[in-house]
Amino acid sequence: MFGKILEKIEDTLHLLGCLGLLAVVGLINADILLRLLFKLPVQFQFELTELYLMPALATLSLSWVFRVGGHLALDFVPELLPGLAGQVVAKLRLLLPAAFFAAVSWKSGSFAVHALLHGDIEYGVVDWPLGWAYAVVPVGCSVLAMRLLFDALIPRASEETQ
Amino acid sequence: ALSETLSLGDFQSTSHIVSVEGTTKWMAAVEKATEGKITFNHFPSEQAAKSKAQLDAVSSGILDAALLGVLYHADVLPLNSVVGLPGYYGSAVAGTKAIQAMLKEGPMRDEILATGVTPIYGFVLPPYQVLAKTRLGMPADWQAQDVRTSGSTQAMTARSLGAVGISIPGPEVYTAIERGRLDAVLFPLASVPGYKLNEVVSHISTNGSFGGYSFVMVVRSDLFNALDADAQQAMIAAGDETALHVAQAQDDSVNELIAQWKADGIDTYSFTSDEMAALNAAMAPVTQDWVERMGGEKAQQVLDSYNAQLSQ
Amino acid sequence: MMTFFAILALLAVLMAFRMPIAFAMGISGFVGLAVQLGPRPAFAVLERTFFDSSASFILVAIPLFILMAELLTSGDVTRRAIFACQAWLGHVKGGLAMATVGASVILAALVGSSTASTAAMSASAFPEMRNHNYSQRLAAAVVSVGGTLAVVVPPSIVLVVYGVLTETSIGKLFIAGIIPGLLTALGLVVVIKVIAHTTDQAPKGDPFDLGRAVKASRHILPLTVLMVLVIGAIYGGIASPSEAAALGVMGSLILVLLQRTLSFLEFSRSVSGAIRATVMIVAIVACSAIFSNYLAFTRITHGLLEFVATTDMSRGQIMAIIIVALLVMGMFMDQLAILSLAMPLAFPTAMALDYDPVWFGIVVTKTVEIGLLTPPLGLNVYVASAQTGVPLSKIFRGILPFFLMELVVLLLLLLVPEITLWLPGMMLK
Ligand code: NA
Ligand code: NA
Repeated sequence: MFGKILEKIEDTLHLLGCLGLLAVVGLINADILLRLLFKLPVQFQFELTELYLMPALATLSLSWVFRVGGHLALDFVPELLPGLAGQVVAKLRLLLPAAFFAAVSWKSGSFAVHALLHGDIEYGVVDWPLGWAYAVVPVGCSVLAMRLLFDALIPRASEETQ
Repeated sequence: ALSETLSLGDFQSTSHIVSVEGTTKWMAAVEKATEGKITFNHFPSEQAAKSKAQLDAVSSGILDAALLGVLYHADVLPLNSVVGLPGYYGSAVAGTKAIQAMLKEGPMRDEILATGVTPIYGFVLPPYQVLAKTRLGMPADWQAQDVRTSGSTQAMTARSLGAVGISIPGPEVYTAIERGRLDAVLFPLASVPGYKLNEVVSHISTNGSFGGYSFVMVVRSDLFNALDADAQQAMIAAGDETALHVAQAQDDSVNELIAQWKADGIDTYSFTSDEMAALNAAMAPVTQDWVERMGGEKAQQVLDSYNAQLSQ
Repeated sequence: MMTFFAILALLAVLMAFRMPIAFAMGISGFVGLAVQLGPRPAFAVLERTFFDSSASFILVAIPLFILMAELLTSGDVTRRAIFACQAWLGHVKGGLAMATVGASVILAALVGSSTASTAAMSASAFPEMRNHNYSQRLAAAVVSVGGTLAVVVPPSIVLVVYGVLTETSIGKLFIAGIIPGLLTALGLVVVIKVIAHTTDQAPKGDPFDLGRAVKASRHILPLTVLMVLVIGAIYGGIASPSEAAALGVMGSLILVLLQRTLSFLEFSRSVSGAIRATVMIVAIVACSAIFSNYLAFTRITHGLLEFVATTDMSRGQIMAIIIVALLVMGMFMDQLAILSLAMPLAFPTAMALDYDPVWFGIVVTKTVEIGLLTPPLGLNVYVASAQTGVPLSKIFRGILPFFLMELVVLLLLLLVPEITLWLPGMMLK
């Protein structure tokens, strides 16, 4: 049950990341064409891409990419080692990063909340609220932390792992 | 207190004039004045934190001190961004004197203290000039020119002159000018050799003032307040001396650069007083906009004292 | 020093037990910072590292060039182009691998980022070589190694960063990169020739048929148009290199739509694939930033390079030590992280020894380029593995002969500075 919900969340965030990339393509092309044809650049394109779209498309899909085996790992040692030690290794491999990304989510999350409450602004072509730009990092990382924890507790038949 | 080794963050490289004549000199002076009680571990070139993260790194204890590029922190230090406005100081020495006075007391100092760090000294880059493929003088010359700017104040400066402000990452500027994607660029002259822009432009203004840039050396407040008074005084005294020294060194170095470029056949030109008046009139709305966006009254107060300091 | 080796051991153990590289670097960097600075600053580093590592306009070139490659590949354009090269070179043993190196050089002149170039070749040239019964190991190695050409052949993000850090002429660096880039390509072709003649990893294709070759060449036309569009946009002053990548994506999309070879499913798979590779790369960049941060605070590199600067060893010995240090750093770190960490000390050292700044820039770039191929952190190999599904260990083994050739080329550049300095000397006075 929880697994299904987690997958839905991952798929949704991944879809948002993909839309972010298409938005980058659209905006940059619009910027180039409009300034070329009408000398009317899309002024906010650079700042929107740098502050919001790049962090979003680089972090929202963190967990989806993990689920499909996209985070690369060395493969000199066999996947499953025998015995109790092997089981401990398999658990730690998930629990350590789960703790790490929980810490990243917590710290980057409070950083984003602080920026939102404090009303931090990047003064650009328009006033960009920085809190919302920072917010994608804790969103992506916390879902990844949940995925790692979930996989550690309920081992999944590995799909597409490399 | 016994001896302290301070981790000092810096986004500039050690070969930059700001480091050679400023940061490095200051660290040495402090070490000497405190007879080695205060020493530094220097982390140049963003080794310890990215340029935008230097302030957070000091307030959260990752670093003990840092040389801040103030405009990187306009989100939490909006009043200090006054130095970015076009049409004010004319040389690094003049701008530095004003900034130093305003960092001693007043809203700009309070704003920095509120982030948990204490300003020791501050200085500015010589004012931004325009580098272009044609001579840009009167606002009419700027019409529809693609001008590379960095930050919103400069973008607005370009727009106020009728040009198009364009954001391009620093490392891509050279190719963009060389290939004609850009007609001009607003740039601090001291950084021109670093990006080799003199290879790709033919006209460089020398007496314009298209915005400024300031650096402030800060130390984490709880650490600074725990130092004994002699050590605090030594840091501030060395800072006052360094600020003026690095400003003068930059002004001198810019003059040497201009002489060199002139010898290389680049048109290094001064704006006539008519041009200057027309440019400053056209750029005035940038200041108005700044006062409004930064929250009115306090910003106006900072601006007034900035004007007063500069006219001394 | 003890803790430093303990942290290195931790990193090695985590990676050996198949923890994703990014996670392993992040965790060991974090533990190192906690030991070095205390827990509070270590946690504080986590606040904005991911944001600062991803919020950069220059990075858009990575997803855009990968998306361009994905679109062209799922839309059959690249496969047809390689089919055309195959028609000319396929009758030679290893000809298709050589054609891949040639295509990599052309792509290198389009792309400033080596990961993007590797991704493009992995998606197009790799399946083609597999279809012609090339071994997995050789095919994946060739696309990984070919991708490194993008760093030396201009335009190159690494050269630009070097130029900015050391105040060296970017224009001269770009021109100086051309001959070393071509020399590297030549070296790779030689290795392929040897492998093709001594093993059965690179079989001969169909016999040469002039008519067929000429006919197949029309398939190169669309790619040529695209190249003219992208290069033209940069050199014609219409767009900056990162913006040109977006033009390339739009051009590719129009191209495959015209050819009616792209379904919506394939389109969404392309976008998804570009995101997948980008997320993987940026996660590594962000986590290696945490690790580099730890390295900076140990002052290990600082001490190392300072020792070099104060010793009374000969000029050549010191240069050798710098190169070896850079190669070792290349095993663990991202190219740009190495530059920012090492150049503040290595560059003044090299200048004090009277080396040429442009030559030093090319040598340094070549050295960090080799780092893209060495385990444990060999970014190009990771990208190739992600795109092709060939296991990392197999690619690393396949790369070995090419790696040795890269060292030979590096040695040539070190011993004969004229290779690097002749062209810029001719073109720029
Ligand atoms: Na290139
Ligand atoms: Na490596």
